[in-house]
Amino acid sequence: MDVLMRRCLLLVSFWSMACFALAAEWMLPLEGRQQFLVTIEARGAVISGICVVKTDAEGSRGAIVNEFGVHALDFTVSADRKRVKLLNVMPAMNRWYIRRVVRRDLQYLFAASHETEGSKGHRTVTLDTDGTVMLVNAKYKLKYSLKKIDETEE
Amino acid sequence: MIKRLLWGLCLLLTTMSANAQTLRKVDAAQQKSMVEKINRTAASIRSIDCSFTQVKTLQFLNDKMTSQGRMLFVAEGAKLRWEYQTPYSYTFILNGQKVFIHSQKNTQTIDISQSRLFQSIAEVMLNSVTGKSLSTNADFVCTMMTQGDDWVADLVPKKKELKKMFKSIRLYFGSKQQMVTRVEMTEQNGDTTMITLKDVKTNGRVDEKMFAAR
Repeated sequence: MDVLMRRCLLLVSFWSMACFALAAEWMLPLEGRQQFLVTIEARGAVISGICVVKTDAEGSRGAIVNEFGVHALDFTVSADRKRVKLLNVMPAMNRWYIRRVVRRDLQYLFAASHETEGSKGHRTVTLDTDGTVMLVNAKYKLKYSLKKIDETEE
Repeated sequence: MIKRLLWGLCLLLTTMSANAQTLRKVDAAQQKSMVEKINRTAASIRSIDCSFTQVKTLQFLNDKMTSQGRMLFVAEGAKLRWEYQTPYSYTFILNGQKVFIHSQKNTQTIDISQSRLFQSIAEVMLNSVTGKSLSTNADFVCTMMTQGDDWVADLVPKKKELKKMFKSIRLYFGSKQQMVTRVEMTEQNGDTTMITLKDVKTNGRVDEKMFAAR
């Protein structure tokens, strides 16, 4: 009985470790401080910029600015990556319906793991060979792409 | 006695360093004279070739983002090339009524006569480089100040489009060269962007190809 119990416990711990490892394989790394090149395409218009994310035990905080440094929006991501909150949104984007779509898209993007790559509803997330993570929102014809800026490029 | 002298010296040094950092508003006559000198220098500049460092302070993240690049300006036809080289590649070219933007994957051409926002951006960039915004008061309320050896022009936008983006733009001029050395942009949310120009070469030959769409 003891042996069986031990084997069971061992199996459970291996299984939890495997689950943890899989869950940790996010497409977008947010640990510590990360910088990404961001492009948002919306009905022919292209907006590009830089996304900076800083993570601590409570979760992640981020900001998107354009290349000249002009602020677009701030956001928070919960530690389990299930909730995104938008803050300080620039006036041109500060409409409830825009905020709602962008918040949900970012939520989907940050929660995307290698396991969930593909389509869900009207959203499709893919990982390019050059490391770019792309999200297409077919309903609103939006395309987001994020590519990590390597420290070596600095 | 020695102690008193040391205290006095410390006090003097503290006052001197405080003066070097304090912004002092100048009177109307001084402002007029400073603006005239800056405009005279700006009028004598045919081209500028320099590198720049941009430091963006993000209040929400308590973080700083640094990028570097090269700037080219030709007065004839008001052409400007603003190129970020590290840590990302992004080029903004202003050539007459056209703006060409090259980023890593995209190239865009914008007719600035069709876009108020780009008109404003182009105006801010050109004016910041040359210092012309000091006398064209349609766009900004300008207050001249001094900070140590520097002259500082504090520009508060008047136009709605610019007001949405910036609380103020400060141009720092070296009082000897009377040319812009730093630009500090403060946004409505308190974030700041400081651009410092380095290795400035004026009136050299600039290749026209640098302002063409790729």
